[in-house]
Formats: sequence, structure tokens, C-alpha cells
Amino acid sequence: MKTSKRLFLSAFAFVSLVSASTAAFGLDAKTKTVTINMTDEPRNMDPQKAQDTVAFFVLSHAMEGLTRLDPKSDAIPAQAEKWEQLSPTKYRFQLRGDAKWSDGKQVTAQDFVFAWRHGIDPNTASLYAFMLFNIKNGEKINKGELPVDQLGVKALSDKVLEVETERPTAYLLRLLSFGTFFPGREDVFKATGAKYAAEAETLPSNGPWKLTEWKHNASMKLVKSETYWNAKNIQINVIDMPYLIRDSNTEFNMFKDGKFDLVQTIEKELLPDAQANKIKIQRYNVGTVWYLQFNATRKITGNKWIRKAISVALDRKEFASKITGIPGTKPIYGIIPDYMPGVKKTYGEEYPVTFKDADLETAKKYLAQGMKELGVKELPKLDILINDNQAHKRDAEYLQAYLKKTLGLNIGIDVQTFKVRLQKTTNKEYDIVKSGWGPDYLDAMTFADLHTSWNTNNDTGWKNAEYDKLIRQAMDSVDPKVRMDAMNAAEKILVEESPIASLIQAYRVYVTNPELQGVLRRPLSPDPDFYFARISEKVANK
Amino acid sequence: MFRYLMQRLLTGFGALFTVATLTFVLMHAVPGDPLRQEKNVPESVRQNLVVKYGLDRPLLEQYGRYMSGMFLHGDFGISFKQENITVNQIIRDHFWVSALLGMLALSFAIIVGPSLGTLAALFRNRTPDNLAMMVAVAGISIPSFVLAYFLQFLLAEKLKILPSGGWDGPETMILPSLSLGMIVMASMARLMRSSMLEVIQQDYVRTARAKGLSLMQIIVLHQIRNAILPVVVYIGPLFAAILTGSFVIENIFGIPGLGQFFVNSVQELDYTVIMGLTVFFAGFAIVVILGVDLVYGLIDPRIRLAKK
Repeated sequence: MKTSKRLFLSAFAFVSLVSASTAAFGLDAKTKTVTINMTDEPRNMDPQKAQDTVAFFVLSHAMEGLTRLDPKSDAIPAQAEKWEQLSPTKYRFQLRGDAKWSDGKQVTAQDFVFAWRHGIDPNTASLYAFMLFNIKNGEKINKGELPVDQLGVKALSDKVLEVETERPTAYLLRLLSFGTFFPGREDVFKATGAKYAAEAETLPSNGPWKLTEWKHNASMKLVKSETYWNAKNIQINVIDMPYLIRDSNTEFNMFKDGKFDLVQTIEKELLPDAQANKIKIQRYNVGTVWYLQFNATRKITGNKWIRKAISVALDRKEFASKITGIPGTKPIYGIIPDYMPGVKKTYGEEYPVTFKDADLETAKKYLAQGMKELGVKELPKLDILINDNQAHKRDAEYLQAYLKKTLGLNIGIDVQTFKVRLQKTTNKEYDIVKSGWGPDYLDAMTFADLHTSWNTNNDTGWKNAEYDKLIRQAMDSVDPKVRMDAMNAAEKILVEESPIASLIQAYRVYVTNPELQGVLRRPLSPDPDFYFARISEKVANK
Repeated sequence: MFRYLMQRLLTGFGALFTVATLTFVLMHAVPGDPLRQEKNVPESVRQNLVVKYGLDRPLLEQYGRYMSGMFLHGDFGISFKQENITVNQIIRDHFWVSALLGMLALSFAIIVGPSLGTLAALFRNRTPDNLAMMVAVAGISIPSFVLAYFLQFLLAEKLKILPSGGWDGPETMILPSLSLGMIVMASMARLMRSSMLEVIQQDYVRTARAKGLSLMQIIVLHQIRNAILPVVVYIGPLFAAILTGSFVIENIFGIPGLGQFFVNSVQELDYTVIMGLTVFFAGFAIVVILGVDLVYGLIDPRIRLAKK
């Protein structure tokens, strides 16, 4: 062969090799494949032990519970086709005849009994066992006071499940859509032991997709399951996560290259780039509430007036819009975020909690009162404890300067690694800590019970008998109005006593390939939710 | 030779033992509780976890368990963060990726570095020398992650001729290897250049010229072979630079290597992974340096004679 021909052929081969390997990804309308970033390796894919967002994302697509959430986040039938409530605490669920595992076996009531017992078992040491405290005897079993078979869940037959709750639970049906309540396979568990759900092959799957590939810390792939009862309505065939990219810049570049169809979070610094490239930026309420938490067991921060002074001095609107810089971020004055269901509309619409921003006059009065009560002429330095993360540092520096300017306070910043921050907070070795709380289920209670005296996550050292009483009232009732009224009254106590100075409701911005439609974003898993997603007509028909 | 090898292996093992012990001490000196998560669990549940990971035993006993597990059984234990995965499995699954990246970076450095240095030496103080040394100085001064981001921005984002990340297919390996190998390449170039210039001064070169050997023959037979000696010795420590540099590069380009575990495990206080990876990398480094020393002995007959 002539040299020039040889050269040409090798060049052609090289180019086709390169282009072939780069053209394989992205929104593929023929195979109905969506490609996204794996973002992180899940810590544990056992649905009863899952605790991180990646695990919940994959599990909520590979598996399914008794109910699932529709686009409005109401509970709709899933593995259970119908149910009846026999008493305020007893429910009977009828499982679908065509509810099957991906290996063809029927999903049975015993599968739910096994899984829930596995989750509540103290030996399983699940971080999310507290979700099962809603089921009768859950808390006692987890503390080792009762045997596991005393859990309020029974299989009356292969397809009928009876559930007894600890108390009337208004949000039970929504709760049951969540990962901790997914069924399990006792036979797989017995055969695999520690490897249960540790590999794609040992993860039992009864959901719309099946996990077909899982290379740890590298890639995962979900493929539509033909045994799923609602397979005909699932429009996405493959959810492919071929890379684990931790660098947000690289991830965004790959989105622009067409390698990813969705980026779950766009960092603030990348927004100008997105705008310059005319990429549509979408936002949603990520559900987290951020606040400054005071240590009520220490002398200065233990004084209510000092805490209130700081709280009313804050300019939450400025903090939300200028400092945080994520479009959509909203100030919050109480603890319960706006999006929570209220009686008929949202909690935010029906029970707004607000007070004047940057009320320096009142703040100074409170400060004077507090100092008088404490008998001090000058306040010592107070430290704000934070994680060693850019955003927290920026926020802490703003607050430090702001409180100095407005109230003349001497504020320091205590930067620690995440683990140490957690430890110091739990051990109450802090003055003020910048803290956040995300919802575990879609009901105001997940935020309202945070500051009760019995909540193990309440590390403020603050407790209030009236607050506890109101929360108990809300827990014991199923009447939405009674519950919301009680929780709102409790919230007002929180504002009055200020064990925390709330800051913002966090939003997140993200981008999607415009041809990918119907992807839902939520404060809770499934997030992102591909159940109702589809590839747009014009791409599908190309 | 055999005695030398045994001696080296023994001292290597001693070094490894020291590294493992130091890591254990430092790890436990760092404040923070590896089992603490964002959500608190009932104390009884937490106790179960503590017992499972042996954290309730006295430190000395924990130390004994780690060391015997590692050195007697080659078992590095189970990751604290990912309870179903053993550290051995992590190393098995991801070492090859990091090794390939390292090899590519080193190959780039070894091929381009000495070549650039030779070129610079042969055309001393002329344009090729100045250009080559400019590249070398830039390569040494610019941190690998700055270079990585810059190359990514220029070649992937703006010119779109190479992918931004991932590790599947030869085109994804180019940018990471370049970013990682640049410092080593630059160091080798400079070293080769000064080494070559030194060799040129030597008597035997002048003798060879006098004997009638062509310039090319001199360069290949004598200059390069002698000048490369310091460069070969330097590979040991440079290998360490590539190892540590890989953590950042793997993060930037989303490469599923071992580096991501290192950084992550320290943040998470994942004791077993920290210990396992540190000991593994230390062992690997010791083996590589031993290998380099043996190669050096092969290349340079003076070393062999000295040993006898």
C-alpha cells in the first residue's frame, strides 16, 4: 500500500475510534437511555440501612414500597393496590397480584415483615431505624426492650399485610413510600449474609428498574424491569451512571459536551458559565432549613435575651439573596419550611411565621436586658462552630462582621472537620453552631419534633414543657387542623425562646437536557425521580 | 547479590512496620469519632457498632489486631464507611486504574523528559535549549492541579478536542497523564541537561572523539548512558510525587482510582481504609525504590564492582 494511503487509513481509523467512543453517551432516544453522574459511592444499599442520597436514589428506582409519591407528592398505590384503615392505628394492605421481584418471584407480605423486622433489629444498627418507631413497639425493640417479632406488622396471607402504628399517624401513607419501608428477600439475606444488597446481583429488586451493573466507586446502571407491574408506563429504559465525577467543574463540562443529561446540583460559581451558554437553569426547594443553634447549657448563650437579640438583629433577606447567592433561597423565621403540607394548602401559605428583619432597635433592647440579667458589662467572645467548607466559611465570616457592626459583638469562627464538628455539637462543646436539618418525611412533624426534650438529635440543651406538650398533641391527633395549629403554636414558642436563630430555606439549582422531560425534584427521595420522565417527541421521532 | 537483596527486604519490612505504627498513632490522635453520623442513634445501637469494629477494646489490643491482621494474614479489614466492602477489595478493584495512570504519566515523563534534556544540552544556549528550559521551569513551578484545570479548560472546554473527564478509552487518558507527569518530565529534563553537560566535559568523551567516533555514536554510546544514571536514581522519589499527585488528578478528571479513597477516608475517619492504603502505598513505594536501585546497579558497572 502507498504510504499516503496507509497514512490516510490510519488517520481515518483513529478518528472513527475517537468519535465512536465519544458518541456513545448522552440522551439516546432509540435506546431511551438517560446518562447522569454517579456523584458518590453509596455507603450501604440495604434499604433498611441506607442513609445517603445516592443509595436512596438508586433504591427508589430499583425497588418500590407499599405506596409511592405522585408529582404532587401525595401517596398513590404502588406494591399495594388498595388498603383500608380498620382503626386509628390499624391498616390492612392488599398487595398486587402482579407485584413481582425481578427474578419472577411474587412479592409477598412476608417480604415486608422480614424487611421491617430487619430494619428495627438493634443488631442491624440502622441509622434510619427511627422511621420504624412509627410502627407499634418499634422504639422499644430498637432499644432492646422487646423481641423483634413484637413489631406491629403481620402477614395475614401471602398478599395481605396488616400494619399497626404506635399512635395515629396522619402521614403514614406518605411515610411508607420511603426506602426504610421497602420489602426484602429473606432467602437472599440468608444466602448472602453480609453481602446482602452489596452487589448488583444480591440487591433484591421489585421496582421499575433493575440494577444490572455496579462497579464500586466507578459506575452503576439501571435497566427497565419487564416484571414490574406498571412497566408499560415507564418511558425511560436505561438510567446509566458510567462515571463517578466528584469535581463539579468537570461534571458541568461533561454536561455541556452532551455526556450527562442532568446535573443534580450546579454550584454558585458555575452559574455565570451556564448563563453565558444560554443553558436553562432550574431550581427547586431542596428541603433543608439552615439555622444558628445556641448552646443553652452555657452561661451566655443560655440566656434567652442574648439569643433573641442575635435572632432579631439578623437580616435574613440579605443573607438569603446576597450571601447565599442561589436563586430561590428563602428566608425563614420559624423552623417549619413553607412546602410542608398544611391543612388544605401548604403550611407556608396557611401558617406564615415571620417577624421584622434587621430589627436593630429591638435587638439592642434585648441585648441590654440579657446583659443586665447576666450581670455583665461586656460580653465575652462567642464562637460560631462550622465545617471546613467554603460556603460555611463565607457565611460565618458574614455573620461575624454583621454582628460586630450591628450589636458590637465579638464573634469568633471555630472551623473543624465534619466529624469533629458533629462530635463537638453532640457533646455541647460550642457556643453557636451553624446547623441544618433536612426532612425525613413529608410532614411538618419532621421539623417540629426536632426540639422536643426526647429527640436524640436535639443537642441545644434547651427544652420546654409547653413545647413538648404541643408536639405530643400534634402526634396524638390525625385531624390536620388540630395538628397544624398545635405545631404552629409550638413554632411560636420556638421563636419566643430562640434556642435557634433560623436563617434560610435552601434551594438548589440544576440543569437538564431540554429533551429530557418530566424529571421530578423533591426534598425527599426519589430525587431526582425518573418515574414520570420521558424523552421529548421531537428527539424520539428523529 | 542475594545477601544484598535480603538485607534490603529486611530494612524495607522494618520501614513498613514503622509506617503502619506511626499511621495508627496519628490516626487515633486525630479528634473525632468515626462512627458518628449526622443522625444520632440510640446508645444501645451505637454500642453494637462500637463492638463490631472493636473500638471498645484498649488501644494496644486494637493495634495488635490491626498489625497481625495486616502482616500475618494480609487482611486489611472492612471499611468503616462501606460496611460490605473489604479494604483488600478496594485495593484490588482500583489499584490498576491508578497504576495505569501512574505508568502513563511516568512513561510520558521518561520519554519526553530526558529527550528534552538531551536536546537542550546538545544545543546549549541556543533556541532549542532556551525553549526546552522554559517548558521545564513552567512544568516544575505549576502545580499539577492548576495545569489540569488549565488543560481541561483549553483543550476540553474551549477547543473541544479532548474529553473533560472519565476513564474509558485512550482519549480520556491523555489530559490526566499529561497533568500528572508534567512535573516529573520537567525535573528529568533539567536533570538530564545538566548531567549531559557534565559528561561532555569528561575525558573519555574527548578520547572517543580523538579515536574517531562520530558525534551520534558518542551521544548514544557514552553520553546518554552515563547521563541517565542520576535520572534513574531520581525515579524513586519522583514516583512518590506521582503517587500523591494522582489523588488530585483523579478527583478532577473523575478517574476511579485509589487516590479518591485516601482523601475521603481521612475525612470520614475510616480507620481501616486509612491504615490499609497507607501501608499498601508505603509497601509499593519500598518495592519500587528497591527495583530502581537494582536497575541502577545493572546500568552502572561501577556500582556492581563496589558491592563486591
